[in-house]
Amino acid sequence: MILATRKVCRGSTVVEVGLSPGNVVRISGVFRETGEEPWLQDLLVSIHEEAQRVRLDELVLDLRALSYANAEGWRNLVLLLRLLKGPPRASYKLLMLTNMTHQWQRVGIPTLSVFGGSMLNIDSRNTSPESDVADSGRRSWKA
Amino acid sequence: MASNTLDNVAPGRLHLRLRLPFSWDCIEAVRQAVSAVIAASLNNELLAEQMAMVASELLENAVKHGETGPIELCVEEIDGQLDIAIGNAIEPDSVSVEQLCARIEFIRLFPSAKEAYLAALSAVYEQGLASASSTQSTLGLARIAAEGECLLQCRISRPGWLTVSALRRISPQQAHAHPVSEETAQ
Repeated sequence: MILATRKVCRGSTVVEVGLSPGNVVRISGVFRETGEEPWLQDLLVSIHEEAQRVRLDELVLDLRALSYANAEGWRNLVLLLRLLKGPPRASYKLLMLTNMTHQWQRVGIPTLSVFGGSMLNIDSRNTSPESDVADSGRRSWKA
Repeated sequence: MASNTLDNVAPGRLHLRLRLPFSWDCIEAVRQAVSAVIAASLNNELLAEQMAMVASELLENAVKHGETGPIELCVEEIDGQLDIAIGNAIEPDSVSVEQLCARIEFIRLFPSAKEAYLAALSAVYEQGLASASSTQSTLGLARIAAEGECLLQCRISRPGWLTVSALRRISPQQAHAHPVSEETAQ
């Protein structure tokens, strides 16, 4: 029950799929797209479909190293929540790892709860992705 | 753009004016530059990040909807407000100006900017994968109002030239974080 590992780099954005323990999608760098070529939207749709197919019970979206995203970034996050809520309702819940020291996440991320409802959990502990290595094997995302 | 020369700028007041290429690729560098200048001038990192986002979203709109040609950015502190203005060329009778005004008006109809932001996000949610770039433009403007805590204005400042301003009220503590001495002021 893990996602196929892959890494997509577009401009200043890096998306890593299937990071340990296999259900983590990490978006890092700076996301600034026009929306004319919705590559992230397409990628998130494919991840959602794969998560459904392998029957994940939780998908972790790690945004902690995403230092900035434009409005198109917000549009993509809302669309993922739309997929999650369905119909059909997704088999998995979404855990968003955030870093509120990035100003762009402070107002918008809490607002996403309105759309995600009980299907969305937000971890705002502002830990760094690097700290996961030290914590690996001990940390439960659901903690 | 309120002033054309630095002669009109009060000593110690933030005033940044740039002429930029019509290029999506330069926006990130400008965002970081605006953040650095505001942080250095007003000694407020949060305000700097917020206003850098504002400049970035306005620039994106100018590149997406404006006519090819130089873009002017002005960041200035006037009368307890921080004003970020972006000017760009537009076609006479451009539909995009009308759409821009309608989007700003839409945001102003809400009791608060956060409610407008929520409505813009809701529009994306409702439209799902079919949501168009027009929803993104509204989202960007609503974001300026909510996250940036700015009042938006647009006007044809001279024939064929559109100026969009985002005004942010700043407290006396935020303004003049670096006090101007009597000698400098003279």
